[in-house]
Amino acid sequence: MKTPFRIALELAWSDGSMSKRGAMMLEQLGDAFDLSAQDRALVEDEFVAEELSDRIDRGSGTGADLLHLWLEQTLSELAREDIGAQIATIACAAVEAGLTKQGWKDGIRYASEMGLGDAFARAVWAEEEIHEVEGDVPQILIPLSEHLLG
Amino acid sequence: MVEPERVLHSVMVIAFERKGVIEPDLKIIRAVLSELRLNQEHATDALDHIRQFRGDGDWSGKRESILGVAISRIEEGISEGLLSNSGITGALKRLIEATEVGSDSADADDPLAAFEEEDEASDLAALEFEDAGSSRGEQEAADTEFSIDESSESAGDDLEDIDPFELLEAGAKSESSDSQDGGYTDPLDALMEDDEFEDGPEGSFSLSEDEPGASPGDDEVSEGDSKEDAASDADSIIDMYRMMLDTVWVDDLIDPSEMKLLTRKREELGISFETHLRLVREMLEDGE
Repeated sequence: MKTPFRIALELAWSDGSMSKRGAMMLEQLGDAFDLSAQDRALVEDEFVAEELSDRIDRGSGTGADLLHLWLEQTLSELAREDIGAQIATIACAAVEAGLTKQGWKDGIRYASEMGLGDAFARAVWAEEEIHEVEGDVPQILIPLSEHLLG
Repeated sequence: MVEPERVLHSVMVIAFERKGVIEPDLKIIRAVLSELRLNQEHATDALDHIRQFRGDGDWSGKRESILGVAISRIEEGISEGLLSNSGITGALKRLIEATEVGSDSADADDPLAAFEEEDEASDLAALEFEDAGSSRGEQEAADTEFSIDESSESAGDDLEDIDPFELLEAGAKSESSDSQDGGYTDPLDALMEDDEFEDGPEGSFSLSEDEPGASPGDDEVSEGDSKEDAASDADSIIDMYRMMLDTVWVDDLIDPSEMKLLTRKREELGISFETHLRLVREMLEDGE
């Protein structure tokens, strides 16, 4: 499953090249996520191995525009007060549906990357009562929701 | 909702523990397999897991927890209607009851002793229990006779070595004879006599230094040994909880009831959430 930072990487490199502006936005995202160098390296190494190693096309870094739009929305959603409740709701629904080991691994990685690992884990493991929220799922959580709930 | 695979796994766990050995061909297992509409592959998966963790029957000293999880799952499977055949559910309830009562029950009080195989080999599809007619109070009133249709069973199955409730008879016999001839010992005896954390067979553990079941040599244990024991006990608790994690995730799925069970166990055992997450991570890494 692609994590948020991986999604951002793919947007930045979407035309075959990453601009300096795109690279700066990745730094901004990494800071916003408080992503450790180790975790970030893991994501980037996977991306390079899977996406860039055989790539020969070269672009002009226009992916930065896509990344900019995505980043604005993502940072806005992460600032929402209910973002923890939102991911907890997804976690609860995943358990209700039957959570696989791989689902747990993917989910906790996805959530942890955004600093929401604790909210996700506590919801999954019924560590505390969860007040599920209704309404639209934030854009940044849709990949997680689709991955765990189909 | 509990998964059928887990119910089957749990029935196998309880049946094998009651039997004292792993016997995949027990008729009760085949009946449950059919009732749950599962196939032999599911049974093989469960069997593999049991063989991996059961050891010689003590589940590395965590038998009580394993049985507790298994009983919970079976009861949930019954309550949720996964197992609706009254004959099967009756048999399972009695099996659970016998497991929970364990060696505390005298032979005459063993509800499972009421079961006898009436039709030995005529049809694998038909399991019948007959009330033995002895006085067993309220337990004899119901569930005294039932049949299970298993049309999928082939007539060519080996019937002779499949005694659906031989395990129950073995349990009853042991309770009447083990004090006399040292023969069959109900593998659940130690489990049923002791609280979860009492001293017991090798691999078990105690949270209290004042356990009445302490071994004779405990008086001679030094303070240093006590500390080592405490550390060992803590390790055992962790090991037990980890085994529970393995067990609830045996079919690669975990559901709300299992989450609640694990949450309750964490509280009971004093395991922090952080430790729990570490154990989950370790378990998943070990599985890779």
